Amino acid sequence: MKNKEQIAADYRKLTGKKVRIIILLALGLAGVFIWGMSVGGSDLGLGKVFQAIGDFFTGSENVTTAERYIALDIRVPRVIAGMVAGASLALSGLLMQGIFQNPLVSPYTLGISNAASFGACIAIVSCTGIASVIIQPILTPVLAFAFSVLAMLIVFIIAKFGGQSTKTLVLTGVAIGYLFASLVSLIKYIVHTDSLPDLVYWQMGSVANTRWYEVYIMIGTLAACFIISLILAWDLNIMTLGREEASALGVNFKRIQTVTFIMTTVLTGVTVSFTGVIGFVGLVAPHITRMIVGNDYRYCIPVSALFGGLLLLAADTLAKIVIAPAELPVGIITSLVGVPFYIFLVLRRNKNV
Amino acid sequence: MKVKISDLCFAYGKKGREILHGINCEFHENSMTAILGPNGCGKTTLAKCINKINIPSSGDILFDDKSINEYSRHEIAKMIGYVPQFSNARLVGTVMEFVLLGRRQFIGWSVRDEDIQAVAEVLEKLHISDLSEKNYGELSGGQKQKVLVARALMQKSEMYLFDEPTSNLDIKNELEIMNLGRRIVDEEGKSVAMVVHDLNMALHYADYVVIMKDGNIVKEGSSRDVITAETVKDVYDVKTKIEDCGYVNPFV
Repeated sequence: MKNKEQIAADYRKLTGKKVRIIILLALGLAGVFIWGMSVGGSDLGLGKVFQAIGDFFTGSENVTTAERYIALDIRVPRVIAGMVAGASLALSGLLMQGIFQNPLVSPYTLGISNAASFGACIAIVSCTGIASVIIQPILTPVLAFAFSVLAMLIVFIIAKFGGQSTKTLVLTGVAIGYLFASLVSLIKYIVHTDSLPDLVYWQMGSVANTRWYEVYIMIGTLAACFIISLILAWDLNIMTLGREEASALGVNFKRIQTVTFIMTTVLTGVTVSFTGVIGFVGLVAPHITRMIVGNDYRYCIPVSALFGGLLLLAADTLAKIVIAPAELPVGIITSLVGVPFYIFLVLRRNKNV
Repeated sequence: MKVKISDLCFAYGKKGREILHGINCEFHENSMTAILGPNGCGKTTLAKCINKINIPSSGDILFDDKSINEYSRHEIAKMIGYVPQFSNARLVGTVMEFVLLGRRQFIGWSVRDEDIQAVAEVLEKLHISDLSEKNYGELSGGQKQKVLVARALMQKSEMYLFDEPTSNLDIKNELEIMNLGRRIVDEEGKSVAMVVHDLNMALHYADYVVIMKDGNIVKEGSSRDVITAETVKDVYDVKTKIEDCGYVNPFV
């Protein structure tokens, strides 16, 4: 039998390992961030990118205006957007899996992506001619976000009548998702074919051409949700026990479920409106996180966010390289790289058990 | 802590079938009360009402003469340590992490040495310290049940509510949990309410017995008064003989 000191030492050893994983992931993310900045459609090297950043802060002029534009308005916002979008989707997935006690849900399970696609679809097909250049870039994310929030409101209101059980929430979400998916198909079917490529491209997801204001909104959303979920970490831990046990341990299940539901909606809604539908990260990053650091949300939250950021950023950088000078949609890479890695981890874990 | 239940009715949903029909009973201070009755008679539902997991459709529950409605969920968790029949936990981590959740009311954001010590002490007490870094999901039914008891003990509450805590345990572990319940009462001066099926265990360990049938209380009182051949026949429809076999308490 282990004595008290051994039990404490074992626990401290395990938490120490988790902290080291967080540090390692942060370093890895920094590495991929720098790699991402060095790669792009033009042959602008990393040195120039750093010089442009230096110029921005010091006011000197070591690079040309074109180089500065490429570095500061294309490369840097893109890598930040990739990182933040990945982290947001991963965090959203992690929170959802916890409150629904279901490792198979992802930010898109509840139909957010389909609702957002429908919003984007309306924006894309309704803007023709000059409007497609001026209004569409703003209208697309606005409608995508509006419809994702609307879909979640519908899900929540319906589930409320059904007693707000986790099962009702998931089932209603999936059903609402199908509803919006068929609406998208309907529009695709009746609309003029000129708009179709734009829509298909949007649905594949991309962090290219992200504007700075979009990056700011994404960072703000992520930061707020990240901090709130870290504050709620213990309650989220207890929420995974289900309503009855969580209540017995003093947690207001409905309140935490509602707060988390709002956070996941906003996180996913904001991300999907600016980047389109990037699949897989939100499902797999939380999974891999649980495999490597367990289920304590105090560690899961940072690890999941870091891992999601790393995964999406690495995928986006690969997307720029694989068929250069052309680019692949990042969603394809996240799945192509993520699936084998995920299967490898599942197999390895089963072997260990 | 004294718990008094008056005219308690409970139904699932507004139009659902009523499970408890006007329950009146009392759980005495500093004593162990066994809740007995056939399957589906409402024992667990009653336990969940006492714990505010289930919200009654009418009636009241008084903790030391103060209504349950005046307490927040947080306060109830401090007053009542709950051991469910089984845990619906998914996505949980190690036994250590699982038991730590019971300390929710005392713990800060980071886990201090005293928190770990408190868990270690309880694990040692229940002879499951070797399981501390095992995954909860990988444990056997009996081990899980003991871990659930450990988690409830972390709540450091005035009353413990055990819902069939020994259903998966072998006789050695069963006696260990029953003795633990007894010690909580005798040494710590707290009260224990326990849903059990074993009439002998109830006779041997409990001070009081509440016996239920079809959502009603059939009889309550001291265990010797309640567990009689007639009551057992009436409640379970089983013929029994209660014999004094030289022990302190008779056997069914």
